[in-house]
Amino acid sequence: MTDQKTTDDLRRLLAEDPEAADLALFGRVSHADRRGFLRGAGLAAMSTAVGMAIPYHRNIPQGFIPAAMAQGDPLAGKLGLILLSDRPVNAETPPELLDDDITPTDRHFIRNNGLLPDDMDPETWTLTIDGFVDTPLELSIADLREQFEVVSLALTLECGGNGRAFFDPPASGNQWTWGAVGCAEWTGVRLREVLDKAGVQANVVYTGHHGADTHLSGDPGKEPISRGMPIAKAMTDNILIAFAMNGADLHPMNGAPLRLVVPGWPGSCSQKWLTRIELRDQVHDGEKMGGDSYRVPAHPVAPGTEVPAEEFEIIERMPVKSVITFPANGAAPVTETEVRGHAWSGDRTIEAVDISTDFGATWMAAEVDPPLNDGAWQNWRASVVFPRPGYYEVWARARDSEGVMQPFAIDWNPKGYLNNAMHRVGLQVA
Amino acid sequence: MPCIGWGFRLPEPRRTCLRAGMAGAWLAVAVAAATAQERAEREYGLMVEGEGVEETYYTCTACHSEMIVVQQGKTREGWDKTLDWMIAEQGMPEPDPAERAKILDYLAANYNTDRPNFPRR
Repeated sequence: MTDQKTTDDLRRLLAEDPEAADLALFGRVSHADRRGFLRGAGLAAMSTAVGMAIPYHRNIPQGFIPAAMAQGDPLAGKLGLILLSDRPVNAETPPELLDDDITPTDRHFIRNNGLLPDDMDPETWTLTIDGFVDTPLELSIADLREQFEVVSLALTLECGGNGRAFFDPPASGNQWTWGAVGCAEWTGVRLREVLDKAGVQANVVYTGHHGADTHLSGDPGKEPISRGMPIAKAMTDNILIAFAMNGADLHPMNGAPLRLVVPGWPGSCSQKWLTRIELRDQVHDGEKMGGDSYRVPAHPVAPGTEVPAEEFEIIERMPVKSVITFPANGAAPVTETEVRGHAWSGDRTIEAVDISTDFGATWMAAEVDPPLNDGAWQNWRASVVFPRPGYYEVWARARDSEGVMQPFAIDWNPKGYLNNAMHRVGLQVA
Repeated sequence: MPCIGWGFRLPEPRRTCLRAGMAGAWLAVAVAAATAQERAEREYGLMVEGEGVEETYYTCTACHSEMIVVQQGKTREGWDKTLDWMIAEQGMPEPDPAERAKILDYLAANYNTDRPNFPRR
């Protein structure tokens, strides 16, 4: 953890103060002519990083990061994420790096269906609201800021397929383990207020969301993803059209310069690079609304069952879930340690988190904080004493405001959605 | 098999390359870069070598990373359906039957439901 922490600190420094980071990372300091130099160890480090000697290293300016390290890095601006795919980019956060109460931008997972738009300029970006509205709107980001109340909310986003890696038989898609979830502080305007301004007509039942990302095939006529939600959900007060994340511009991989944030529902409802919201008199038929995308069988099925298309229903809220963020799996704590993490349940609150250190034989209640605001996950912690050194596991299970508890086992479905089985970490107690 | 059926993966130390870096933070950076570089230097990226790898690699990576393919575990029939979906809905050109069979054989042999080549993370 210490090495990981140090690496992350240096990378943060690289983003904020390249010269200081350069000094810390490669041991370089400025010359009067603004060219850096590399001490022996620093040169060795940089050479190792790029994979060979750098004959012209004396000409490299201070604060310069070799292109081999800086360019084409799908995880630029992210720290410690595990890359699942680089085209499209998908990356998750190891649970122990989700330890912050509010997820820093560099720890927030990435789930892309297509390729980033070429143009993500916030100055020229426009959002269209159309369909069954009294007054179609075309709004710049400046218009959004001027015409509506700007609010900041901590909001939990979780990919519908988080936990898919544990399905057996395997389910198709990115094999997320635990880390396709985060709770950043998002800043924007309430979707409800924007829709109210446009005037939602009486026949509207569903929204349809559109973004500027491009299809993997390169076909400009195809959208990578275009999902929507029932109008009643869209009018919830905690849904934002967001232009900032943790007090800064959105990260390009997280939808810059404008996106929806729909807490507690599959992340796919939170369209990134948002350009248009249409109000519809029928369920949206956009890409990944049909077939088996973001759908589960209406009734539980045995693992491996072939389910006919008509027996699927669209996923709405995400189920009750928790994650242990400290200690890390595989850690070696002493016999007394704090255990902590987060818990959430879509459109609900968490009533209790219980933990077990004896493989589920006995359970104790953790202390659970209230959510920072509606739509935020809840932080929990407990103090644990192990009777003697040895191998232990910490298991956590949350219970929500409807009395629903996390299960031991996966409720298998063909596409690997909604895995809210308990998280556990193994500890080598010293 | 990286996991067992009821949602729990057996605990194992993760990312040993980062943990083992006793010589300081820059080493971790270097190791991570080297891993990406190793993948870049391999002819078929993360796809394992074998009969049909060339056809499979170039067919799939025309649109997306081979990293998506190697995460999956499907039967030959499951892969066949995936190709149908790619062709019908995702703009993939139809491969000729012999090539399609070769691709399916490769995928079924190396990326089946027992996940013999699931990527190490």
